[in-house]
Formats: sequence, C-alpha cells, structure tokens
Amino acid sequence: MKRVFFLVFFVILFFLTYKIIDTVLIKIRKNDSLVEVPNFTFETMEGNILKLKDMEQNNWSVFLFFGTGCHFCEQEAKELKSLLTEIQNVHFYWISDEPKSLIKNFEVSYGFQRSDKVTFLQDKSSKEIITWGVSTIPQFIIYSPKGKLVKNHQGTLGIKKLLIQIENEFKTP
Amino acid sequence: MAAIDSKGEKLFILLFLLIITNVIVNELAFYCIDFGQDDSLKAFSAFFKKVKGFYVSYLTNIFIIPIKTFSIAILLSLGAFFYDIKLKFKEFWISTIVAEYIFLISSIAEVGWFYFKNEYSIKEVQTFYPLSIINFFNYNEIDLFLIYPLQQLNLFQIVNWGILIFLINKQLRKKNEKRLGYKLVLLIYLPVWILWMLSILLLNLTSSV
Repeated sequence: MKRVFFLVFFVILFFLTYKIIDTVLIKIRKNDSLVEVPNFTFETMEGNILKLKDMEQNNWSVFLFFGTGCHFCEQEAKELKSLLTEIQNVHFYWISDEPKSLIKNFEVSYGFQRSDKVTFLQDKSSKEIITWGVSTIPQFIIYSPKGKLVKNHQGTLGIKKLLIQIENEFKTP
Repeated sequence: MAAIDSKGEKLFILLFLLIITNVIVNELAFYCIDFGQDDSLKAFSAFFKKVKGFYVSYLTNIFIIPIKTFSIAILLSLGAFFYDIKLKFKEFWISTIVAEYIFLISSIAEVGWFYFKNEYSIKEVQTFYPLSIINFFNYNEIDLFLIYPLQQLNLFQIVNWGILIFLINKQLRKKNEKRLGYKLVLLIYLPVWILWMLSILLLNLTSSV
C-alpha cells in the first residue's frame, strides 16, 4: 500500500510539474506576442470599430479592463475623473465584455462621455480580452507612444500612482 | 465510552475556540489596519465591509477550518494505516486542531505589522504574510499566481508540522508505541501538501494565461 501511495504521489507530481512548465511557456510566448500593440478590434459606444493598430501613436495608451459592478473599478473611475484636467499625453481605454447599455451607463455616471482622453470599448465575445490574457478586473495594460508594452498590472493600481509612474519611471530611457 | 465522549467534547471545544478566535482576529485586522490612507485602500475597505467582511470572517472560518483539519486528520489516519500506528481518528483530529492554533499567531503578527507600519499599498495588504518567502520578493512585481504558494512557505507552517509531530508522538508514547509521528507528517502529510500547493499554483497560472 505504501508503494502504491508513493507511486501515485510521483505520478501526480510529474503531471503537475509538466503542466506548470507547459503553462509558464505558453504565458511567456503570449507576453512576447503582446510586446507591441496587438491587432485587436473593439466596438466603441457609438457602434464604430476601433482597430488598435490604427490608433494615433502620440499618446501613452492605458487599457483598463473593468466590470461595471466592480467596486475597485468604480474607485479608479472616480480618481480618473478628478484628475482628468491634469492629464496630458495619456489616453485611457476602458474595455469590458458586458452589454453596451451597462458600459454606457458607467461612462455617463462618471461624466466621461465628452472626454477626448477616455474611450469606452466593448469586446462582446470576450475574444480579445482572453487573447490579451486578462484574468482579473481591474487590469491595466500600458503601451508607450511608440506602441511598446511597458506594464501589465493585475488588480487595482490607482490612477494617480499610474500617472506618476508614467511621468517618472517609464519615460526615462 | 466515557473517554470517547470526553475526547469528542475536547475536540468540539478546541474546534469551536479556534473558529471563534479566528473570527475575532479577522475582525481585529479589519479595525486595526488603517484603510483611510489611500484611495484604493478605502475601496478595499468598502468592498471588505460590503462583501468580504461577512464571508471571510464567518463563513470561511466556520467551514474552512473544520474541513482543513478533518482532511489532514484523514490523511494522517491513512498514514497510520500504512505504518501500523494504532491511533484513533479523533486523536489525529484533535492534534491537527491544536497544531492549527499556531496560525493565529501569524494572523496576529500580520495585524501588528500593518498597525505599526505607516505606509503600505493595497497590494502589500493582499500579499504580505509574516515570516514567509514572499517577503523576499517585490510585492508590486510579483505575479498573482505565485502569491498563495509563496505565502504558504512560511515559518509558521514548519512550526505547525513540528507541533503535529510532537502531539502525535505524545499520544503514541502514552500507548507505549514507537514514536513515528515524523513519518506520518514528513512522508504522508508533506507530499500531499506539496501536491496541494502545486495544484493551486497551476489553477492560478491557468486562469492568468
């Protein structure tokens, strides 16, 4: 019986180790493919299709994956709203796979509908969100004006902290 | 029969006290950690109050602690069968519950850490675990899937195994049997614990890909 126990242990150990290594390699490959802005498309609240590759490359792009019922996302939205007038050269893309009506309500409730620094996008099928490897909300993926990935942060971050990081850390070569 | 009854009572009282003290420490954590210093921490606080306060403090402790200690006791009973150790399941369960009390110290240490610390981020609150390997890493850089396994590699866990070995050996000594507690913990419990950690790591990793 003891032998059976240890045999089962080593078989499971081998299997788990193999799966972990395999998944880590997939994660690394995925991260490598996202070093530059991916060729993803999203729908705007006006019903237009936005191709990320075709975006203007003058600004820092912050892709913020959110949920309309997520308390931390609401907090980030409040903070962004309070800092909106101070923000320069940074564009925020709020992306969700929820129904457009909910996203629109969220956008309006924080008064972002007229802002040229904030765009709300929908990924109805969640295809792009999954391909991007988004696993939590909020999640921040930040690209430089040259379209290079500078940060992929899971969880809440704080808009103020993020802006300070962009200003101080990411801009230094 | 009377002995069995008293063991049952002992088990119930120990388990009940463990759950109650865990709930109290969790509540203490909530009131002692200064959530007011950071906007994202305020959000965390509100979220905790709204949802987690209830679930974490009560439901998790009420269900997780008995399930965890019961599972470890089953595992040790299985090991006892392999090594021909004549201890009853209840005796294993009591030892497991007593050894579990060590984690109360880690919770209190965590509360103390944040109570006396002036500045910390929400990520630090979520990531920090006293005397664990995770403290050697930068909280802001660490991948989410690594947090749980690295937190669980801590000194309290090692002390927990030590206490378990001591308590099992103590019971074996009473019955004039060989002190094989270390075999049960190191050759049966530890390998399954490693598999558990790897499974959680894989689960978190898969969900983050």
